[in-house]
Amino acid sequence: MQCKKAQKLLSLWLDGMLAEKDEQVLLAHLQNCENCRKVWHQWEQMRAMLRSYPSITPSPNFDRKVLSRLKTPKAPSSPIPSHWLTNPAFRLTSSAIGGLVVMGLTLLMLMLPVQEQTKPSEQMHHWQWRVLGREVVQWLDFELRGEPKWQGGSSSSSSLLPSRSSRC
Amino acid sequence: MQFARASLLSPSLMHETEESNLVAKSKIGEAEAFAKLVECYRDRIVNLAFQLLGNKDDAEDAAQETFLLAFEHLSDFRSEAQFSTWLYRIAINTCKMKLRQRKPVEPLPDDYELFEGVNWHEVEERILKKWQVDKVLARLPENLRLILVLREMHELSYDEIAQVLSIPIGTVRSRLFEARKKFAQIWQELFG
Repeated sequence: MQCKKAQKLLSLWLDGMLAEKDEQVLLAHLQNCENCRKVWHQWEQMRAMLRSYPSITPSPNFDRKVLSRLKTPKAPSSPIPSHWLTNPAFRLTSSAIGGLVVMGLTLLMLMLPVQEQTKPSEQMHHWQWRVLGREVVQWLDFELRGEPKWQGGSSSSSSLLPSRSSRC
Repeated sequence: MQFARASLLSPSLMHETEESNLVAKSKIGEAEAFAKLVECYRDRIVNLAFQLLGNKDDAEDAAQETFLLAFEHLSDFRSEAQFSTWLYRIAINTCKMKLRQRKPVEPLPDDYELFEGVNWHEVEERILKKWQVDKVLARLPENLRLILVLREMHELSYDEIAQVLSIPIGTVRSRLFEARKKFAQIWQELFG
């Protein structure tokens, strides 16, 4: 077995990930290869060093710091940058625009003519009766005399009676 | 700085069902449930950040950011994955960000506090070892450094490492071999 292959197996062996048959082969190689035995010892030392790396204890208020930041609600994002709101020029301009809008609306309301409130339902009622009455008379004329009398009258689309084609 | 051995290897791993319940409650914004998850994982996450960043202040900052990001993005966490694996992934990304923002300075082991009743010889030895390990780790490529920290310091299994780093298990094997070889080589160059 070549040393490179043996060292790959050695890496797995250190982690307990080597199959039994490969383990036998590796151990046989280690017995005969001083270089690989040296690598093995180096890696063992390295592991010991890494595992003895000092660990730290989090500060006593660690949890509190995390939780206090969790509970802080995020400020709603404003469409206007906050530094604008404190800017005197921005405040003056926005006040002037606001005043002009109010004045404009007031003038518009004063200039509009006052219209008498009508009852749309009543108007519709009269109109409907008038059209319906005229069309009923024309239809009766047609049925009795066989000639239409509504040429130039209201279009069929506005008629309240069914269209001719659908009547029969 | 205290050198108390934190319970990295024997974490009070809660039962999977209990953890799932806590995660589910945290997902709907229950801070108390999330507080228990923080309590369970804070030592490991702070130490992972310490091993990757080299100093306590940065490690605590990174760990806090990790938990805040986790809480914020809990809706992205899928229950079929392990919560710890997901948390490790966030912590690693947070540390990578911190390392990129950091100016290139050597991590110095001088942030310990003086207090009485200490075996100074032992402390010096430990500080020296930490300094040496930091030097070697700093010279390793990022992917090799990460895999060594996860395997040797956190003793994650090959499967867990594969999940944390989103790499195939074959890559875990070959990368660990490369990392060990490279670590030993750099150590030899620096310290004989």
